Amino acid sequence: MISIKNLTKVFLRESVFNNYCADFQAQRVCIEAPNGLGKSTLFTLIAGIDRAFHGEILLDGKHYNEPQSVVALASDAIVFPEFLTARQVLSMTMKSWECAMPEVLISMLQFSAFLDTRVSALSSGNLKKLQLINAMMRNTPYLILDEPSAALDSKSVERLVEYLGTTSNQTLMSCHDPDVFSKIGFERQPLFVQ
Amino acid sequence: MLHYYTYRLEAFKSEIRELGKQLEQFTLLVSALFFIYLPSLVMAVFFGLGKLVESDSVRLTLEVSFGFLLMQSLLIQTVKSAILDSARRSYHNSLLRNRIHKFIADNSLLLMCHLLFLAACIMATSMGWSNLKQAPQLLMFMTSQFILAVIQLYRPQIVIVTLCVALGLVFVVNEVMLYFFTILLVMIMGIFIKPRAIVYKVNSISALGFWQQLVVERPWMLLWRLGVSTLTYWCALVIVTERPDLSSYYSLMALLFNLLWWSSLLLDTNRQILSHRSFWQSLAMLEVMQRSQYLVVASCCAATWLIGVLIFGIGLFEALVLIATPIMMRVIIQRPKSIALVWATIVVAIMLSKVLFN
Repeated sequence: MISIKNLTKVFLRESVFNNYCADFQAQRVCIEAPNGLGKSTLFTLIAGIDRAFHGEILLDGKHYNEPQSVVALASDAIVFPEFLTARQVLSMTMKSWECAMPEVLISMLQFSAFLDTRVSALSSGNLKKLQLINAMMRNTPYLILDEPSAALDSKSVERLVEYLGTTSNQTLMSCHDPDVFSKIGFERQPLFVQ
Repeated sequence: MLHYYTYRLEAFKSEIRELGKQLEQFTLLVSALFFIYLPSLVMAVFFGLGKLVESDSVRLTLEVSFGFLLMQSLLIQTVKSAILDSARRSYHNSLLRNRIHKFIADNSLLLMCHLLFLAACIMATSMGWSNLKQAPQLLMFMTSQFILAVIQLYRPQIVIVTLCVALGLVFVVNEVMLYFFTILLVMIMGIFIKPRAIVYKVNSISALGFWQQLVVERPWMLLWRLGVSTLTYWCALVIVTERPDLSSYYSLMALLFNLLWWSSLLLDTNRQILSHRSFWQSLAMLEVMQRSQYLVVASCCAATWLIGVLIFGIGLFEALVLIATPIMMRVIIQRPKSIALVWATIVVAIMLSKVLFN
């Protein structure tokens, strides 16, 4: 379970979260909110990518100094170095988190042909696939996917849904078209309770 | 097509203004520090060109020619994207039926900012045709200058090859005209040989592997520093030979300039860390990357300082330059905008100490 307690996050004097509290209890949660309300920001905070906030984020009741060791995030907020190839990006993740090359995920998302393509030359769909592979390959207890179906072709979305249906970690995602994920048990939860 | 040429001129002016803003503080401080030397700098250009026209030593003529070609390559590289309007290159194609206009605009703008070629033109004009006929090497030099500049716009790899050949020839050729003919031949061959992209990928990417790959992908980041360090040491060596009584001051100044060129490498490396901060954070590698960039830059500073010390000799104040390196690096990370001010303070402090206590 992911618990957010009294979270305050400010961007240039503009408050995104002000004493925000939430619990994400279900194993598969689809967070719903209109654009610009802070879904992506919340994800970077939970994943330990952005540490500039007040409040507490607990993972199964435990505070982590290095949350990125247990949370993997696939998001546009993580900008890969544009001159590295996809293979090099994945190999850095392999080294950092001691995981294997995700051959199954690569073939599932039909990404093999683009492994030696530079990040700067990847199409938006393939960049999204790289983000997803890069996060899912780690098999962390918590997986966060920010708009996973955006820019993906329908076949890839189908395969992604199929794969997520087999995972046992807690998965949080934001998606503006959640119906396709509902069938594998994603529960809708609004970002802010009215 | 007048509208296209007007657009190119405006785009060029706008990028030059932007570049001027970026270098404003640095230019101002260097001008303030070396104000009395600025006229001498202009004189030095014409003095160098004079050595090309008339010199007792072939070797010196060749060294000066190479120095000029290297310096022009560095200067043009700085304004290359403004000349080509690189960011909007595909937009040009949407305006033009014929590529010739693009070529004319590129080269007209190139001529406008090719200051060393313009200086050579002024020199040639002031000499008059009858004297110019007596110094054909100046015409050959100007031709090399112009062709090298044009090649730099469209085939930058050939510029590196040409400069390497030009440097090598300085030590083996005894005839000035042969030197220029060989350089021209290399450039002309380069125009007709299609460049092959060098694909080198670091297999195992680690912190140091990342910097290695960055250098492979953006070699200019190191090349311009190597070029400008070579020029700095070479100029200091020429002055030290001419004025041995002032050698300790000029050699110290060369080391201080070298410190500025190489410590500023942190601006490039730190940009990579800041723009991909979330990526490094997601890999729990942010601190490792920060430490590794210090290591890489400090090694470069130390290596080039060592080369300088081997050329000019070492003393207390030369050692102080090395000790000042971490201060410069710290400032670049903490307050990059203050780099010029801090460097100027270090220069004044070390030079003043030398004057007072030496």
